[in-house]
Amino acid sequence: MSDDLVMRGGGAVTVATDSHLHLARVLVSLGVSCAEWADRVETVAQYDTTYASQGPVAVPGMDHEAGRASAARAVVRLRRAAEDAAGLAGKLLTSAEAYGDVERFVASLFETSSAASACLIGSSPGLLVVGALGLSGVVLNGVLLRTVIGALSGEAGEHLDADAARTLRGVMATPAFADAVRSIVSSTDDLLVGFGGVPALVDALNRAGDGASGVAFAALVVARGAELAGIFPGSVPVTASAVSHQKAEDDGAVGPPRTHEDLVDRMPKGGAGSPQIRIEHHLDADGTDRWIVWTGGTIETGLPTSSTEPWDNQSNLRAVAGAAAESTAATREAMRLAGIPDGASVMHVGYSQGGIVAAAIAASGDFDSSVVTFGAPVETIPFPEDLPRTHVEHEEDVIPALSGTRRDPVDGGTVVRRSLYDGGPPPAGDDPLPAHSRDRYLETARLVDASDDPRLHAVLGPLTGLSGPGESWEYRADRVR
Amino acid sequence: MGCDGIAICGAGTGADEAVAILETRVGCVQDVLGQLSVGITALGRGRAEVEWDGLAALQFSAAADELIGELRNAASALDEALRKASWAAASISTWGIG
Repeated sequence: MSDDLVMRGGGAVTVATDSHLHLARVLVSLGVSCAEWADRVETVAQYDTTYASQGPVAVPGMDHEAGRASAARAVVRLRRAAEDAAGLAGKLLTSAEAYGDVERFVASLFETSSAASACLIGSSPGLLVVGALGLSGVVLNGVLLRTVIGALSGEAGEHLDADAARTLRGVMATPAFADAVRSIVSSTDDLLVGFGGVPALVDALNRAGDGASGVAFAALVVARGAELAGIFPGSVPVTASAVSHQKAEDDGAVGPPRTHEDLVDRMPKGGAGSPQIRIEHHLDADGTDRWIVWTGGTIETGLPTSSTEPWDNQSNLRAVAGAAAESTAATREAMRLAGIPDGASVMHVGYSQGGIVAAAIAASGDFDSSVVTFGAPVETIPFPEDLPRTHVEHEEDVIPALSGTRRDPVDGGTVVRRSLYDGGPPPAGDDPLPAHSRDRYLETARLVDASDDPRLHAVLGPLTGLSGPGESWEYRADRVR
Repeated sequence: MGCDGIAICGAGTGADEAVAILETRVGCVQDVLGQLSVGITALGRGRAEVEWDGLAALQFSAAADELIGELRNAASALDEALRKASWAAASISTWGIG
C-alpha cells in the first residue's frame, strides 16, 4: 500500500477523468483513420503513369514516378502509425491511468457478447450451473450470493466454517472479485430477460424507452419480486426527527468542513438506532447559505426484518433501481425539516448506501448540488454532466461494483480509486469487507487531501470561503409501522 | 474519377488520361494530408488535456512522441508525393504530351 496519489499504472491511487477516455478515443479513431488513409493512398499510388501512348513521358525535371515512391513510403508510415496508435490506446486503457472510465469503455466493447451470453444462460438454467462451475463459480457465486442478499453480516458468517470464511474473505478483497461482480451485475438485466422470455424483453424495451439503465431495471425486478414474495416489507412511509441540534452560537458549535477527511469524519457512524443523517448550515463571505448533507451507510445488513430501520437492503436495491428508497425519502424529509429550500446550494456527501442517496438527490436537480461519495454503487444514477462530483472507491471494495457498469458514460466528475493491498491478502480480522471499511476511506480521504492535483479539490469549491461555526443537526429516521 | 476508383494507366494510355490519374492522386493525397494534420492536432490536444505523472505516464508520453514522429514522417512523405504528382501533372499538361 502506498500513500502516493499521483496517477500511476502500478501505483496505489488511480484518478479517472474523461480526459483520459477522450485521449483513448482519439487514439483509437486515429489508428482506424491511419489504416484507412494508407489504403486510399496505396490505391492511388499503384498506377503507373510513366508511360503514355507515345512512350515514356519525357518532361525535363519531372519525376517519372510522379510521387509513387513517396506515396508508398507514406503508406508504410501510416500503417505503422495505425498499429502504434491502436497499441498506445490499448496501453492507455490497461495502464490503470484512466481505470474508472476505461472500465466503462472496455466494457462497452464487450457488452454485446456479454449480453448475448447472459441471455443464453438465462434461457437455459442448466447452462448457468455449468457456466458457474466452469468459471470456478462455486466460490464466486457463493460469495456473490452472500453479498447480494446481505449475508455479509456477522450473522450469516456464523454459518460458514472458519476456513471457508477466510477463503471467501480473501477472494472478496481482490480487485478481480470486484471486477467480476461488476461484470455479472452489469449482465443481470439480460439474465432476467433470458429467464423471463418475451414478456421480460418487452418490459426491458419499455424500460429502455424510459431511459432506465439495465442494472437499475434488474434491481427493480429483484426488489419487486422480493416484495411480492414477502421477503421485503415493501414501501412504507418514513419519519425523521432531529436527535441533536447545535446552533452556531452554541458552545462547541463546529466550523465548516474543509477537507475530504472532514467529510468522512463527520459521516454518521451507523449502528442500530443511531442517526443516519447529518446536516450543517454555514454562510459564505457574501452571507449566502451553504448546506452540507451527510448520509451514512447501511445499518441493517441482513434480510429486512420487522424493524423500523430504513437503511437496509430493501433501500439498497430500491436506490440502485432508481426507485423510491426509504433512505432517500428520509434524507429529503430531514432536509425539509432543517429548512433547506429548493434550489439551495447543497453539498451531498454519502458513504455506501448513503452515497447512492446523496447521488440520487444531487442528480434530481432540485438543488444547486455537488456530491462526494465514498464506497458507493452509483453507476445507475443519471448524473447531469455539469454536476460537480467525486466518487472515491477502493479497488478491492465490492460494494461500488454492485451497481455494475454504466452503459452510457457521463462526462464530468472524477473517480478516485485506490488499491489497498496491491494484490496481497487483506489484513487479518473479522470484517468480511475490510476494503469497504469507513476507516479505510478515512485514510484514503487523507491521501486525497494531501494530493496537489487540482481535480481532486474542485468538488470542495462550495466549502471555500465558509467561516465561523455553523448550525448542525443529526437526524434519525424510521419506518412508520 | 474518385480516389478509390482510378483507372490503370499504362502502355497505350494517353497523356490526358495520365494527367487525370495524377490529378486524382494529388486530390487524394491532399485530402489525406489535411485529415492527417487534423488527426495530429487532435492527438496533441488530447495529450495536453490530460495531466498526469508517474512512470506509466512517462512511458506513455515517450510512446506518444514516437507515434507523432511516425505521423509527421507520413505527412512529410505525403507532402513529397503531393509535390511530385502535382509537378508531373502540370508538366505533362504544359508540355502537351499526349
